[in-house]
Order: sequence, then C-alpha cells, then structure tokens
Amino acid sequence: MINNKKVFLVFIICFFTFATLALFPNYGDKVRLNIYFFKSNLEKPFKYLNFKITNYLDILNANKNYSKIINNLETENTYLKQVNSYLRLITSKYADQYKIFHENSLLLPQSIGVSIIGDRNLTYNKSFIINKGSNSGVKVGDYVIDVLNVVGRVKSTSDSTSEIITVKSINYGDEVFINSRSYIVSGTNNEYLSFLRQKESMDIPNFRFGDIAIIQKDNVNLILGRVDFIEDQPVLITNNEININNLRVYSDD
Amino acid sequence: MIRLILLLILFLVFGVNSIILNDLILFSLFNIGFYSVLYQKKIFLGDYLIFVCSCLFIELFTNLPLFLGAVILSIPLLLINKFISNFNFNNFFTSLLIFILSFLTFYGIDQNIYPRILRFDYFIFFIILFLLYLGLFFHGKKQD
Repeated sequence: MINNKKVFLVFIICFFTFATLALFPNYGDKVRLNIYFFKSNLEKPFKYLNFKITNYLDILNANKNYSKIINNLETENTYLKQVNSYLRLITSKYADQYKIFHENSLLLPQSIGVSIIGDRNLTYNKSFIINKGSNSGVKVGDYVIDVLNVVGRVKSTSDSTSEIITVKSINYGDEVFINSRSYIVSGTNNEYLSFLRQKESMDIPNFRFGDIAIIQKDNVNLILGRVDFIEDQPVLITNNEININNLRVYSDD
Repeated sequence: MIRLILLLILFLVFGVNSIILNDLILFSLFNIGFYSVLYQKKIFLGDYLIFVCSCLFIELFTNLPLFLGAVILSIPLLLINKFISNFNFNNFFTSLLIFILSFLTFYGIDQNIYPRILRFDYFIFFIILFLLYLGLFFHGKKQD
C-alpha cells in the first residue's frame, strides 16, 4: 500500500513523536506554546501592515463628526475627573485608616495586560493561548481576569506564551466563598460550574438564587459567578459578557 | 506549492473573531490534508508532509494531542486511496468523497458543526468542493 519508503519513514517518526508527546504531556504543551509563539511572530508584519492600512483609511474617512466626539469626550473627561477626585478623597481616607491598623500603606493588586493568540471564540476547546509568558512574570496558577470577573487560570507557561484553561473547562477547579462559607467548584465543559462539596463541613449548602461566588485573594476579591439552579441542583453561572480584549493576568504573590 | 501557500495563509489567519471563518479554515485544512493523500494512487513524500502539516495545524487549533491525526488517519486514508484508485471513479465523485470525509472528521472534533452550517454564511463551503474538483481535474490523472 505504502509504495514509498520515505513516506513510511515519516509515518514511523510521526508515530513515535505522538507516543512521546502522549506519554510526556508537559513536552506537548511546550511544543504547542512554542508553535503559537512562532505564529504570533509570523503575524506581526501582517498586523503592522493591517494597522497602517486601517489607520490610513481612518484618516481618509475623518469627518466633521470628530469635533462633536471630541466635545463629548471633553465633557466626559471633566465628569471623570470629578469622580476621580472624589474617589481619591475616599481612598486617601481609607488608606490613612489602613495605615493606622496595618502599619504599612495599602497594597494595590498587581496585574499584567495580555491578549489572546489563536482561537478567540473558544468554539473547539475551553482553553486559549496568551501572548505573555514567564519572561513577563506569568506563573502557573495565576488568574486571568476581565475587571474582577475570573476568566480562567494559567495552566502552563513558556518564555513568551502561556496556556489558559477557562472556568468552563472540566479541568478547572477552585475554592470559592459564598455567604462567607467555603465551597469547592469545578468546570463542566458546559456553560456552568458545578459544586463538588462544602469545604471542611458536612452541612447541606443553603444557596439562594443570585448569590455571588467570590475567590478571596490577599489584595482583591475576584468574582467567579452567581448561583443558579438547574433541575433543583445548584450551579454557578459565569459572566458571559467578557471583554476578551481587556484581559489581565492577576498574580497574588 | 499552492497547497503550501494555502497552509501558511490558513495557519496565519486562524484565530480571528469570526466563528464562520475559523470553521472554514479548519474545514479547508481537512480538505487539503485528505486531498494530498487521495488525489493520486502513489503517495509522494511532499504530499504526505502536507497531510501531516495540515493535521498538525488542526490539532494545534483544536487542542488535540499533536500528531494524532497523522497516526490515526494515515492507514484508513491509504485504504480509501486504494479503493478509489482501483475503481477509477469520476473526479466529481472523488472530490465529493473527500468533501464528505472532511465533514465527518470535522464532526468528530466539533459535534455542533451541523446546526451551525445551516446558516447561509456557510454556503461558501461549496467553493472548497469546486476547488477540489479543479485540483483533481488538473492533477489527479497521474496514475502510476
């Protein structure tokens, strides 16, 4: 059937490479991440060209509506400045109180802005690749967030890319707090997360519709989802309105 | 050469916001891979490498184990190649067979594809069938 020795040789190489990567999945992840890194580098000139062309077309299409938009933005900016000064006033007071009780200044959460390489729709799988890796300070276990909503966690990293499993993935599991009680939840590969058990307790959980599940970290409380019921079984529904252009990796260290 | 350029373009384009375009890219990769193995009786190294590459890209994009397709699909495709070559089908039937095989394999990866393709946007899939026919018409007659 195979009338070419070279073809047969390539098949044998593929077979043994497949077996090696299947036996040592860590190497498979590294290969995958490196290929995505190569893809993102290959894309750069095309993205640059696309940016330039789009920019040029945008300039050509500039019209008098811009002045109206600028006026609106100026009004909005003034309003935001007022809000900002008010918030600064409040936080300065809080920071002073924090100093009194903790003898140090308020710690602000540290996060890194990231963007997705590859499939952005998550149609075929429940994980994605981001363009930052261990060189940027991303570590395995870090949270990927949109504002305060948890999108996923870092599964593996290379120098310049990382793989993220989303909260909907069956491989995702975490400890959440609902009404000050701790629970273990897991992804299901569906649109919801299921409750596995209540941590360190045998009590029957008493959930109410809409209870918010939070993940408590040192500097910030992240939101995982809201309690809902499917066939009388409590589940966690995550926020579907995620802005994937605004993702950040939050590290708790 | 055309297939190599197509592979490179599809590899670069995959990942845009459009689900339809991503489906189309994956489906094209399947077709390129299957066409490379099935379009002639004798399989050359270059054709087989294109098949391996297209399988590798699909596995990358769909988070499947790497080289799974090249290992699992090679022998069934060689058997189908033998079947097609012996019966000497019309080019249209061969291209239709590649098209349907690609759909079945795609269904194996993503079971939600059939509800999606009912949308009119997916009508562009049939361009691939036409391209397969053209490919077989110009290059598929070299029987050794």
